[in-house]
Amino acid sequence: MVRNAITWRQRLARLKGSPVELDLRAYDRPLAAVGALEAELAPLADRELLAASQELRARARAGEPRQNLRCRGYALVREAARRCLGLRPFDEQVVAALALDRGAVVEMLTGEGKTLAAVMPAYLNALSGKGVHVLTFNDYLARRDAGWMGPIYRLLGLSVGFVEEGMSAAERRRAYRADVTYVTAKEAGFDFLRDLLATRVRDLVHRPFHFALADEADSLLIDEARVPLVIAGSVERRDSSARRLAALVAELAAGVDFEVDEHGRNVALTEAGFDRVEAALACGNLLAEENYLLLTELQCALHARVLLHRDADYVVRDGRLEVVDEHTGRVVEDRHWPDGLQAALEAKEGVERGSDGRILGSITLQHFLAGYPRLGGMTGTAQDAAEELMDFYGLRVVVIPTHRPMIRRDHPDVVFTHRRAKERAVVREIARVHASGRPILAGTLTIAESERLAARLAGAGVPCQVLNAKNDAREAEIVARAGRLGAVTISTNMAGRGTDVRLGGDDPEEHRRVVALGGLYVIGTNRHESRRVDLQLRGRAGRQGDPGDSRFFISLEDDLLVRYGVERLIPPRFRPPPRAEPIDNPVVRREIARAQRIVQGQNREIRKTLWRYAQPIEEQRRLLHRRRQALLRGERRPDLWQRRGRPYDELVARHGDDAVRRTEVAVTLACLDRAWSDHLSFVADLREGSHLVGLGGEDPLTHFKVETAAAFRRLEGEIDDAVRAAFDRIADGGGELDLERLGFKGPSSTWTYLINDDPFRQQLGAMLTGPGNATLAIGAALYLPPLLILWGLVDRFLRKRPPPPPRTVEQETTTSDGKVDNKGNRANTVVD
Amino acid sequence: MLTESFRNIFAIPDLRKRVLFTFAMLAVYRVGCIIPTPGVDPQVLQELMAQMAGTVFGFLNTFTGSALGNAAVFSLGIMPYITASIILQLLTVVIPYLEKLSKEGELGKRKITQYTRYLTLVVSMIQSTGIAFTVQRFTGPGGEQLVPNPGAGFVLMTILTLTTGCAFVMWLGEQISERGIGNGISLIIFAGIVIGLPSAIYDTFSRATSGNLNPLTVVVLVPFMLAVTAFIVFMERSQRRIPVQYAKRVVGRKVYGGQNTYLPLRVNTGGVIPVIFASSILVVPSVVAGFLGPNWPWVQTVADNLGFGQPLHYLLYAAAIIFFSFFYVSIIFNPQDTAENMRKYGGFIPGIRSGRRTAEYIDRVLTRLTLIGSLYLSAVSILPELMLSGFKVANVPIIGGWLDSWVPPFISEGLGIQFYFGGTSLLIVVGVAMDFVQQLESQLVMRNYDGFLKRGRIRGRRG
Repeated sequence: MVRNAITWRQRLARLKGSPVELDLRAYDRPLAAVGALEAELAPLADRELLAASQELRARARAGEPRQNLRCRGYALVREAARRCLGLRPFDEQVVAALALDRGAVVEMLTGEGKTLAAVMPAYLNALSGKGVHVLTFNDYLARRDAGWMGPIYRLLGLSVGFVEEGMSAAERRRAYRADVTYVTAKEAGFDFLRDLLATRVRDLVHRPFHFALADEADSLLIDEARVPLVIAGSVERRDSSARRLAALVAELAAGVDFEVDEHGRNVALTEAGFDRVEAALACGNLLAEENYLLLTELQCALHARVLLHRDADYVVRDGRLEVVDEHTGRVVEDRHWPDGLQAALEAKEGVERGSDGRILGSITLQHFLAGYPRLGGMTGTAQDAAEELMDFYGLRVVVIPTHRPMIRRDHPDVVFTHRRAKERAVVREIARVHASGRPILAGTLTIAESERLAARLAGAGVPCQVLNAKNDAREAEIVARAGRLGAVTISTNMAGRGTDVRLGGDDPEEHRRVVALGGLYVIGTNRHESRRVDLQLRGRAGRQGDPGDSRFFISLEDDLLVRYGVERLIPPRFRPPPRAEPIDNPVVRREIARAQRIVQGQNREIRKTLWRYAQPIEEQRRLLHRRRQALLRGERRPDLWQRRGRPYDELVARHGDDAVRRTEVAVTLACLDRAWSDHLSFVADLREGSHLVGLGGEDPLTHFKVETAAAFRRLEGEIDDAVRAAFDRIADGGGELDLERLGFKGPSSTWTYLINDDPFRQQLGAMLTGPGNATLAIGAALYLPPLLILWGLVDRFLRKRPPPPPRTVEQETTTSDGKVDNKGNRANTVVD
Repeated sequence: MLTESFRNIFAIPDLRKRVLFTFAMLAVYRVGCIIPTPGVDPQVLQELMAQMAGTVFGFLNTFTGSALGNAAVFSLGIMPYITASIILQLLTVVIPYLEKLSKEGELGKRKITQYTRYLTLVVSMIQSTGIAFTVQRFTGPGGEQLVPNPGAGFVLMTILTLTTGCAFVMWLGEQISERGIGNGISLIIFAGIVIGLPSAIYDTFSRATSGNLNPLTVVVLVPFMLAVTAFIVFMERSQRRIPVQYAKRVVGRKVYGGQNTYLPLRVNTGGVIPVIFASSILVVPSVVAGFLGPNWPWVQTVADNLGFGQPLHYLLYAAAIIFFSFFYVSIIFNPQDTAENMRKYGGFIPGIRSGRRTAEYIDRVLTRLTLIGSLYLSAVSILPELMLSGFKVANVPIIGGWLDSWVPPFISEGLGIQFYFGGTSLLIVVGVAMDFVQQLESQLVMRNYDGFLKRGRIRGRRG
């Protein structure tokens, strides 16, 4: 029997409809059944085990529902795992496997054996022969897990494949034909996109989707969900003024020529800035129609200079720009900023211009994953994401208890008034603990911060290893040593998710000594926007029943707190004067936690809004996709050309029915893809303008839906027109069926990449969720006399208030300067 | 087309559920409008109501779906909620704390909603106290008391009942917004107004057949009503679209102009509110006169000259509507904020500097639009009164007597037709209906792609 400790508060939440399942009693019976069957299977020879599995497979293929096969299947896997790997899945893992098959995200802490647990539902669902994808966190894990778990599947007569970057289409096709395929969501998504553009059935690599298990589900399904996968083609360099603009922008002064908003999400030129830029570029009115491209590039250059920071948002390595993922702290292969911004950034850093091209297709991970009829997931931090997992994917969260009790101690935050004091305290704390030889892992927010801390530690005579996006090549080595005696590891978010720190490395004696010292000590130097990231960091300690401690050091000057105005949240009387000692005040701690909750809530709201906007487009994409597949597979026959009568007959007489039809299919597909690509741009445009509609007093979402739907309905006519026009061109051009001459040659080469869709912390979403005044109570119908009196009062008030001054540059800068000054002074007085 | 849409509504399970839920909630609302509050003699009430038709009270009664006339538990209807939300909306402009809150995203919005609810309760308590004290003073035409057992008990009971009723209606409205379709609050008002329509039609019809009303008038009236409604729909949908461009994005090779992104400025931004402001002001003199009685002849004169159908009334009414249109627009739409907002997100009006100059531009456009809008509002509001009471030309200074001598009586006396939908009601009904239809449409839209797949050309090979 597997049980969670459940508090009454959690019970109450469950009653109120929380999608978090803590009560595991429902799993007792199947668990017992699996156990009973296991005893029956134990004496069988490998051959007989295979026969049993094959019998199960025959039943599955004959259409027997999965429920009937589940317990027997799981027992088989359990037995096979024991024989092949010497690992017998614990009851906890079996319960997780049962939940996974029912379509849930299971919360299992680090080191509890997610990989092995996933084998059971993967095996069960693969029996029908329709293919199962296990979506791993990265390519390395895909290869490792497929190799590691492969013997289990093979013993039971199923095939296993894996996909990694750089594989050929044939290799991929073979991997996807396997019963179980280990692949990253990214690669599977890119293959899906390539399939979307295929012009021949035999070029398709995917089979229809059936079932997928996502590892690190919250990261994949929530944090990365909005990242669009993009397939692009046909390189054509644009000569751009990016370099010139980068130089120009570098000279502008903050506060005078441009202003940045309080959240660091937006930057805009001021009047003075406009004057200066217009003079420098000698382009006349920058906002005039003919300068649109220039302005766009200028805006990109400005964003690149002001809002994106080297060694935080990206790194430059080997003359290339590499994007750092905000949540994992890793360099993400193949990720780009949106087109113009990428160019601007490359100009800013003076690196070689990468390739760019026309976007042929794109899909967000969220919608790609939603394309699986059934989905399950595993992660260490599911509870915080439970609401969204339910909203977006209809997935419940099932919490699986650890096999051995978790004994890590999470200490309350140590809060400082200013950053310098915090940093000193962190160094002191590390030095103090390090003296005992206990391993320490310190998590920082950015690459720059990790390096600063390392330098300071070196100054204090504490040797340390730095793990960040810049030296990810040494990741495995650094992580392997992080749990050893005397190890001090400074890391970005990279050492969060998926990093397995083994105490004492592989040496049992050293393990014992490290345990005696109290296990791994995790220090966080910042709260992250998402509590899940903090929890992942803490989760590095206390793995598999090991001891451990975790503690966060925070200052009131940390980005998160400043950006969201925690100072405002904390009542003045609790706002301590700057000092070197930590503040020991529960109110302050509570408010900090609240700030994080507010930020999380806002981000959640943004994601939800964006999801609402993406939903109708996704529906359209599916419709179009189905139509495309039908054309591609020849299930639907195009007939637009046929209706042309005589010219068509002549063409058929000349080239044969098949050739003409093939050409028509190819042309139709090309027109369809092009129309869709244009439609997507239209949609992006419309979405951007939606908040204006809100200002105008209409509901932006309704407006968006109606408008995109109208545009989509026009699409069909446009495609037909294009196909007909192509025919006319053929007929006029002497009847040659030359796609290239028609301008329908597919891109010479395609490549895929991810777009950092909202580099500025999803400002688009913030825009859409912003105050729309909805229908402003049409109902305001019933104004009553008391209101009139009120109006008089309001009017008096308004009159008393000085008229709002026009916002001028000087005012804004003085205030913001004043703030900075205050802080600077404050910090100085304390430190000196 | 219409039947198809209708069928579609019921073909989509989610939509069907929402529509049915909405109707179910509205039905609950109607039931509450019929159940009388305890302590009121329904017999006397009915007689009294017959007497009061056509007064301000009658006007209010329309809005509450005659709940007020029934002295029902839902007498207050959704009024207090609306009052509260308007008060809060105005207060956000005045109180910095609320202003900050309103900009703080979801959490702040939730808090403001919460405050609105509390304020609703306060407002409804005040109003129900007023109602309770007023009602217990009333006597029927036969001298019998409307409230047989007046006193503190009755007052407390009434306050409790009406306030609870109001809270319940508010909850109903929110439920509709959340799980049904359209804006629940608006729909409740809508339902209240429309519910009287069938009986009004029947009434007109019976008056026409019994000879009290010239059948010809009805023949003219019906198309006229339709025309007015169409005109309102047209005006309510009219907007000036100021193109806005965003400099941040270039999609592929194609640069999209601003044809898809625009700032829509409505001709009638303020909606029906200016009319309501104006009519409540014009009611004041007659209320004062009624209160002071015949001892104050000059007050009486003023009130008389401001009565329905008087030239001065029309003049002041139109002027007030125009004034309040500008006033209200200036409260709810701030060009400075809008320009700032655009600037922050990198948007601009082609050719116009962002910031101050953009604000000025928007302001200029808005002023012109509002002028047209306010003229339209006055026309729509005055028209029904004109139909009812006519234009009392005799009171026009200097040329009045001469005019009166040859102007036909249907102008000077009006047609005596109770336009069931007064200007305000008509505006509200049309507004809510349009809103509702748009919401439905946005839900239906997805199903209308069927053609995309169905237009099957699944055919065998040729030959």
